[in-house]
Amino acid sequence: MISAILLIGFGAYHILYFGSAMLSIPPGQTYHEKISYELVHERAKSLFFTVMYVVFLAVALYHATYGIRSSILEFTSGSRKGKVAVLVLAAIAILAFIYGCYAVIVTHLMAVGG
Amino acid sequence: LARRKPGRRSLLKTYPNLEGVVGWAGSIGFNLERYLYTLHRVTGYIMFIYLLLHVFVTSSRAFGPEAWAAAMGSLSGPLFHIGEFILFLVVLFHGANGIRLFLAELGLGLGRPARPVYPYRPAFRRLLPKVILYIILAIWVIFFALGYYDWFLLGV
Repeated sequence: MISAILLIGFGAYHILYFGSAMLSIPPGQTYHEKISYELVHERAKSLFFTVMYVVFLAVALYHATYGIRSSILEFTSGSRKGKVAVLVLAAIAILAFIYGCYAVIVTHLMAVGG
Repeated sequence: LARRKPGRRSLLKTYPNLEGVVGWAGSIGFNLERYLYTLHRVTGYIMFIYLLLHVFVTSSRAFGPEAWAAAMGSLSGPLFHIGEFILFLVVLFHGANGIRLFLAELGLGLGRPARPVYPYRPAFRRLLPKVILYIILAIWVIFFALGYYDWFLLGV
């Protein structure tokens, strides 16, 4: 439940930040400008964005994995196959977290360093 | 001999009412909450797959501007635009319905517990949870319309 509340906050900020044709924070930048490499590089300098990305990723992966785990266990009723499926799911989530964190941290160090 | 855990086939013999995924699609009578529950799970799976793809694509920035340009170049075209809109609807539904489930889990709007006297009337059948449900659906429809206007009429 806590991860769901955090996700609603993070998700709303993420959507509002990247905006759309109608809405965009900060104003004056289009969606396409915001995802240009120059602005991505600029954002990577910010420690706030770096930490937010890591926490957002952790919360999203935890929430998703926990939710899917519930439905897997519901169908498999504690069988061995179900437990293996949950372990595979957890491994996928951990790998995605490591890869995502690597990208965020490397980009931050690149941006700050040069 | 070590006791073996029951497999799915033996579970189905013991509990013939164990319907699995089929139970999501059909329910006795029309039960809106049941379909919202199914949709909540389906949208959750879609978002998990999207999250993995999103992490993979956006991580290309760590490999320089060329890798980033190549990744962004692969995410264009009308099909991607429609997919993005569907994803918006999926996220919106999951979030809005999640707020409803959050309120229900805290017992907000469910009223006082009543004696289970036949014919049983679930707490969800009371007025306030129904109102909350329709507000959530209305929010989804309003954002659907706003999103459609934004995505396809204004152009991102």
